[in-house]
Amino acid sequence: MTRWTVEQVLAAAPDSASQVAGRKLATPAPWRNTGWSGELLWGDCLGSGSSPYQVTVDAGSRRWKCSCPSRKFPCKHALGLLFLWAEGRLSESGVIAPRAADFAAQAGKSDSPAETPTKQQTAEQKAAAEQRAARRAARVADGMLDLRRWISDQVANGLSQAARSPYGWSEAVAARMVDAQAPGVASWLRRLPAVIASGQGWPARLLDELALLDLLAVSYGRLDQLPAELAASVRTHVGFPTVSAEVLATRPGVIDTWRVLGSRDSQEEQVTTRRTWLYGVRTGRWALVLAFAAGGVSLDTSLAAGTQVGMALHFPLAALPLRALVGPDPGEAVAMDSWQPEPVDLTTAGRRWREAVAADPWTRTMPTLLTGRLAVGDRTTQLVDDAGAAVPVQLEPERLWSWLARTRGRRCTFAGELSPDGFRPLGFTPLDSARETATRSPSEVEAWEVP
Amino acid sequence: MTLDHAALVTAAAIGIRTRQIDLTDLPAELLALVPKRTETDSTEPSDAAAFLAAASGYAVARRGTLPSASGVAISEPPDPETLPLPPSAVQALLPRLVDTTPVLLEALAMVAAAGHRVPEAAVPILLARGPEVRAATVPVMGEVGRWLCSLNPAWTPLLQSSSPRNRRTGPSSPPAGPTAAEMAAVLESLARADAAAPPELKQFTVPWPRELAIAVGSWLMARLSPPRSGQPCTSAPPSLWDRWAVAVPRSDAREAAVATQNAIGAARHGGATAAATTRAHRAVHVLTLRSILHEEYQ
Repeated sequence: MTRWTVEQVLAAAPDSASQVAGRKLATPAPWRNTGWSGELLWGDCLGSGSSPYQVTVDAGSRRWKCSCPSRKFPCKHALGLLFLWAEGRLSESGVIAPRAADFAAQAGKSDSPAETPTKQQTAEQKAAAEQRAARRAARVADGMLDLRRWISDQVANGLSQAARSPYGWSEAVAARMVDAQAPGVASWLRRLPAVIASGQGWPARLLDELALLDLLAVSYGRLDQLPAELAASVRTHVGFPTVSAEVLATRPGVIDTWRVLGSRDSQEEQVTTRRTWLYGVRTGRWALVLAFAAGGVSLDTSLAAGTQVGMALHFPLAALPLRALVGPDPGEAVAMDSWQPEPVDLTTAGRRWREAVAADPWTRTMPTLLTGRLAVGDRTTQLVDDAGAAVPVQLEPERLWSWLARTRGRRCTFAGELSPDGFRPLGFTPLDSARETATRSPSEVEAWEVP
Repeated sequence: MTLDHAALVTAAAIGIRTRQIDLTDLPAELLALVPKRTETDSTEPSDAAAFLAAASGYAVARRGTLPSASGVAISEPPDPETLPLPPSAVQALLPRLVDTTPVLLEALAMVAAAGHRVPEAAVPILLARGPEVRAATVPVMGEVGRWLCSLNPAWTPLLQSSSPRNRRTGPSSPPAGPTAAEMAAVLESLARADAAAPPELKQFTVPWPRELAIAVGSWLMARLSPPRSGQPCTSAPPSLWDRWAVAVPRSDAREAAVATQNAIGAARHGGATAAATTRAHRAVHVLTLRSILHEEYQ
C-alpha cells in the first residue's frame, strides 16, 4: 500500500471546512493508541467528550469509522489521522489493534467477490427486463412528443412571456419529463430560468436552448435512423442511465497511465456531481469520470488532482466518447510525474470544439489544454494566446484573483473545460520555469479557501 | 433578403403566431434542414416545427463557435519577489488563522518583522478581508500583491502605502514571546499540580512552546471533560494560573487562562455551560496557534 499524499487526504475531505478541521487535528497531542499496518490506521482522539473518539481507517478500500457523532464522512478525526499518516508522523505497528482487525474483517465479508453470489439472469428475468425497457422507451417517446408540443407553443405564443415568471415557466413541463422518465431533459428544462435571467440577449440564448431541446426530441423519435454512437448520445442526453456493469462487460478497457488534471463539483437537485478530467499519457486521450453523492454520503475521492493512476478506463458508446468508467483493480495513485504539454492555441482549440459540437450538438463542455496568459479587464477576464486571440474565462470573482496570484501573469498551459460560454481553467503548468512542469494540484488554493 | 438569426429571435420573442416569417428566405444550408410539409402526415411539420428546425441549425452553428473576446491588454507580470517565504510551519498555519483576526494580525506583523512575505495564494484572500487585515497584508504581500492591487481598482489605493520607501527590506526584531524556559517551568507546575494529569504531560521535558501549548491544551481539554468516575473536577491552584499568565505575557493568553479557569470552576460546581466550555476551548486553540508562531519566529 503506497502511503497517501497530503493532497489525497485533502481530496478525501467532504468539504473545505473538514479539510481545515482535519488539519487542526494533525498533531500528535490529542492522539492516543495510534498505529498503522498495511492499509489500516487506528487511533483514539481526545475530543470534547469524556471518552476519546475511536477512529479506524481502511485506506485501501477508503472506508472510515469513528465513534464521533459527525455526519460527515470522513469526519475530521479520520482526516486528522490520515494527515498524520501521510506526513509520516504515525508509527507503524506490528500488531493490528483488535477493532481495526474487526473493521478489516467486516470489509472482507461484505466486499469479497468470492462470497457474493453470481447473478445470472434467467430467461424469464431477461424477458421481464426487456419488457420494462420497452415500456420505458415508449414512455420517453410520449414524453418527447409532449416536449415538442410545449416548445412549439412557446415559440408560437412568444418567448417574451417567459420573462413574466421565469422560475415557474418551465417547471410544469420539467415535472412531466420526470414522470416520462427523461431526467436529462427535465434537468435541462430546470436550467432555463437561469438563461432567462442571464441579461441582455437572453431571447437569443433561450431560443438556442429550446431549438436544441426540440432537436433532441426529434432525434429520439428517429433513433433507428441514427448512427449507433449518435443514438447512444441522444439516449444519454435524454437521461437513460449508463449501466456500469454492462459497460465494463462489453466495452474494452483503454489501459494507460491517466493523469488527473482537475475536477469541479456542481450541485443539482440535492445531488453533488464531481467531474474529474483525466489525460492518458500513452494515448493522449481525454476521459471524464463522474462521481455522485447525495444524502450526506461523501464523494469518491480516489482521483485527486495532481496524481496519476495506471488503470483501464471503459468508454461507453458515444458520439463524443469522453465519459469513462474506471475498470476493476486500478493502480495506486501517485504524484504526477514531470510533464510539459505541447502548447495549444485558441485556433486549434476552437477547431476541436467545432468538431466536438458537430459530433454531438448537445455537448456542454469539452476538455482542452490551452497555452496563454490570463488578462483581466474592467468587466471580463480572458485567456490570451500567443497569437493574441482571446476567449472569456469563466471564474467566480473570489476564484479569479487566486488564479491570477498563482499564475502571476505568466505564460502557462492551462487544463480546463471549453463551453459555449468560454473557458473554465482547472489546473495550470507555468511555462517559464523549468522546475514547475507538473500541473499543480488545486489544493494550494483549496487550503486558502475561507470555509 | 436572407432570413438571419436575429430575425428568428425577434419572431420567437413576439411569437410566430403574431410575427409570421417566410422560411424560404433561410440560407440554403439551413433551408435543407427544414422538413417539408406533406399531405399524408397530419402532425409534421407544423409552422413551429419548421421554425424550430431552422432555429436548431442556427443554434448548432452558434454553439460550435467559441465566444471571442477582445479589449483587454495583457499587463506586465509582477517583478520577481525579493522577500523570502516564511518557514513552512507558518505557511501551513496562516490559512487556519483567517477566521481568527487578532492572531492573524499578529502573525502578519511577525511575518513582516521577519522580512518575509505570505504565499502568493494567500494574498487575494487576505486582501479581500476587512481594512485592518488588508492594511496588515500590505507589507507582506510581495510583488504579486502589488501587481494584483494594480489590476483591481478596489485594492489600488493600497499601493500608496506600499511605495518602495515603505517596503520592508529585511528583518527587524520580532515581538517578544514567552521563553522556552518560562514555558517549561509552567509545564512542570502543571504536571505537579494535577496527580491525574496524563503521563506524557508529566514526562514531558522538551521545552518547546509549540509542544507545551499543545500539551497544556490537551490537559485542559481533559480537565474540561465530564469526569468518568463521577468525581467532580478539581480546580487548578491559582498560583498555577498566575505562573502561566507570567509565562505567556499577553493579554489574550491571560484571558485564555481566566476563561479556562472559569470553565473548570463551573464544571466543578456542576454548572458547566456549553458556551463557557466553547470559550475555553477557543482560548486554548488561540494560545496554541500563537505559541506555534512564536516558536517559529523566536
